[in-house]
Amino acid sequence: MKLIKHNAPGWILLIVLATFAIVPEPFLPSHAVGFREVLRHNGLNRADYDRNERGYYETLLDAGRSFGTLGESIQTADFRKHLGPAKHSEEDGRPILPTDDIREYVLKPNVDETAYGTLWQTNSRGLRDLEYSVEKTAETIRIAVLGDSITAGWGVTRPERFEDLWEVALNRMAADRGKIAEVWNFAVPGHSPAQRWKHFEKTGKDVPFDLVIYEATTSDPGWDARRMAHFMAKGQGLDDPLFSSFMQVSKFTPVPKPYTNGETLNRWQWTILQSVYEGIVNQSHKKNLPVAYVLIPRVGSNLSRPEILALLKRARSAGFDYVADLSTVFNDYDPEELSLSPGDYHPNIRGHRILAEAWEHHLAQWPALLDRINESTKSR
Amino acid sequence: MNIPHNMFGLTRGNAVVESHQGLIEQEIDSDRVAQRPADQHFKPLHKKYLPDEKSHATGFVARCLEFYRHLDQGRPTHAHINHRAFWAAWAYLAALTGLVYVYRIEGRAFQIVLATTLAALPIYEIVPFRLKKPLAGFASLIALAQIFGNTTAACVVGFATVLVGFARISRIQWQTRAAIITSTALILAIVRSTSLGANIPPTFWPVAGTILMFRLMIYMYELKHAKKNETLADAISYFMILPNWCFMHFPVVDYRTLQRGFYSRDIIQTRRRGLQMMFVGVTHLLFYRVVYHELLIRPQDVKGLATLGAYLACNYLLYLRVSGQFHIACGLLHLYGHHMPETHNKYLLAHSFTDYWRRINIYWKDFMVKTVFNPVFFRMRKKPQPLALGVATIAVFVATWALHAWQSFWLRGHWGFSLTDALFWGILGAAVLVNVQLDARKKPGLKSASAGTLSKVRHLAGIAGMLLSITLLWSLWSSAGLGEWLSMMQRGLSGL
Repeated sequence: MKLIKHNAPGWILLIVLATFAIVPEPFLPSHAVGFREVLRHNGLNRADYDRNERGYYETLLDAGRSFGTLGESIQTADFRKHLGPAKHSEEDGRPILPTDDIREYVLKPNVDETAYGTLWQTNSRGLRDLEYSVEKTAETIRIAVLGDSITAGWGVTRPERFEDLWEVALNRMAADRGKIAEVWNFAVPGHSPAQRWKHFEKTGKDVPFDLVIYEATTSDPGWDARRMAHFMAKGQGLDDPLFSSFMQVSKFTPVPKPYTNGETLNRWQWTILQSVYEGIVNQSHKKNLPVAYVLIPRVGSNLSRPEILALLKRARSAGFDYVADLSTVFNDYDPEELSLSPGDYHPNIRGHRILAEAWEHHLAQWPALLDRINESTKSR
Repeated sequence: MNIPHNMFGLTRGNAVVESHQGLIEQEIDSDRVAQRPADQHFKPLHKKYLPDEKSHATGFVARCLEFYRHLDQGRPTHAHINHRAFWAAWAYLAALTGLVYVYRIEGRAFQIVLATTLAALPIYEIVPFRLKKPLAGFASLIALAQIFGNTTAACVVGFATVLVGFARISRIQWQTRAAIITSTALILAIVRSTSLGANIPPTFWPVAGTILMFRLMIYMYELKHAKKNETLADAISYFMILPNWCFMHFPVVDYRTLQRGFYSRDIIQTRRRGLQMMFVGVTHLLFYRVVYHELLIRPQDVKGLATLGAYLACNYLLYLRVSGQFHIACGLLHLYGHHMPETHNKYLLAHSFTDYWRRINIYWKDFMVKTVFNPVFFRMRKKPQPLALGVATIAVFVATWALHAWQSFWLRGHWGFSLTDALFWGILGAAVLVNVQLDARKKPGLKSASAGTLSKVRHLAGIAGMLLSITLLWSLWSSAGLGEWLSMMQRGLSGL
């Protein structure tokens, strides 16, 4: 005790700061929550972030996109060099299509071209996937996977990405029971959690599915807040059920300036995320679709372990039928072994293989999936 | 010194005792205490505090103890173990690590460095004194591999070993060694700039650069002037500095200062000072975030005097990140027993350009004084003093400008030469040059004669003027170009 007394002011300040960091959001006034977010913000400020967006992904996709907490790293310049010059002045040279809803953009249908350093082939629905028939036989187990750039296979070809590797493995398992597995990949690079669901809802509305898998990443917190600032400035998504619980709590009224919206929305990022997660679960259950939540890692995680646990806790409380945490599967590897290129968080081919193994292992324990595989064809 | 026996706590063997005033008063050797004559007003110590003469460890244990004692010979009094003080410091470090985690300060590399320190310190505390530096080097190596991967770690350590090993070969003439090392650095710079280095891990360059780009210069300087051979352990402790792996932009630690500071003060005080520095560093980084995310405006948003003032102040305060990182880096060195000088000294309160130069980035100033100013000045000692001072100062600023570009090249991959960069160092150098000449002409008794209200006002005016000058210079340095800076100033001053 005597030794602690020596540094009493240091201990007191440290405890005050630590306590302020961990007090749950509801117990703090909103301006204190906002201030805390500022203190915990280890990324770029808005001006630099916007500049970075333009310099990095936005020049690639040219759709006002950001893929999360990309920091200006010592290797970013090398990465840009690796990708080669972006075709930002050629509208036809990019496999994306702007939309007038909260998705902001989607992949173009029937694309077959090289872009962003790899081959992009999409089907007639604009999914980077095979052309599946809408008709569904009794033997078919149809699964929808919603995700972002990692699930879309940024930087790798379609057969190399983890979702396709899993589909092959799943078919091997299902074949023993006379079943066929179809995994539809609805992932679009840069889509936030709400945009992922909205894309599935719109693109897959006439397709019967058995199961839905929502792919989450450690960048989910804050992602919707950033995108909402833009599309809500245009009056989109205000009455969307995904945001209804957030809108009720916050009484948020957007203005035409994204920057001003962003200032307010960033303070509510966890509340927004909770609202979106609950929306996904509710709407999925309305369609009688069991929905799994799988948290996958980025190469070089951008969240600390307590934050990842907090993210998983929110997923569980939102009511996902199955929650799998794959966020640690890259921990045993050097980032440079798995990264697409230095400073990039997208996994390379090896990273996708590792991810596929972990994905297969965890989802093999999802009761709803096992039921579909094991149930007899007649009972359906 | 007589200390009442109920006012201190003893630990086994050589013990550090702590008075109830909280200051370390004296170390007590239990053997000496036992031999004190009975007529003193000390009671003889209870036998449990005395060495047990009957029990002698035998066999393997005895040999181990003997080996330990042999290794631990020469442990300075400042390195004596005080378990309570150690664990109090460790607990504070653990709490600070928790704070770093919850506020996500400086990312994964910093967290690994802190976790490594937390794991290594208890072992570091008890190992024999002569193994401390190698152990710190080993912990640093583990953290290096954890942070950058085995390939980069192997490349960096291999390359540094070859280069430092070569620098230590005393059979080769110093000039020859210096010439070969300089040539190697230039060849590497060419390799980095071209496609020749395509197969080298990209992280190799900044990591190798951060440990060698300045420290090898200082090490060579010391090898030239050293009167006896420098030990390998000292070299390891100098080049394998653990906090360097999370702060690539690292203070230019002086070799001699690092070695002289090793357990030069009581370890309890040193660690306490280090933890305070780290906490101050963390607060700097948190305040930096407030400035960076909440207060800083873009140069294009400057419209009128108020916004210009806000921009100038906030843009300058971005330096808090550097001072925060340097505080933490230096604080971490203290935890391993290196008592180091401050990295910054209230630089916002500088009242003149020379004062500013002395207060901000003190390690850089010392580096320049040692390697540039003194050699140039003493070479010109037969010339008139103002001339010698002027030439040495100019040499310092030319070297500072060039070496900042050198640093930028190794850490970021480009030299960063620009007109604004040259103007910044040129103007700052000219201002310091004038200041140095004025200071040299001052008569020694003048300061005391002018002490009073007028001098305080003058001092405050000096601080205000210095703040204005340096914020203007800083905004020039960080602007995209001279045209952009002039345009911003025009918009800002249009309200006048």
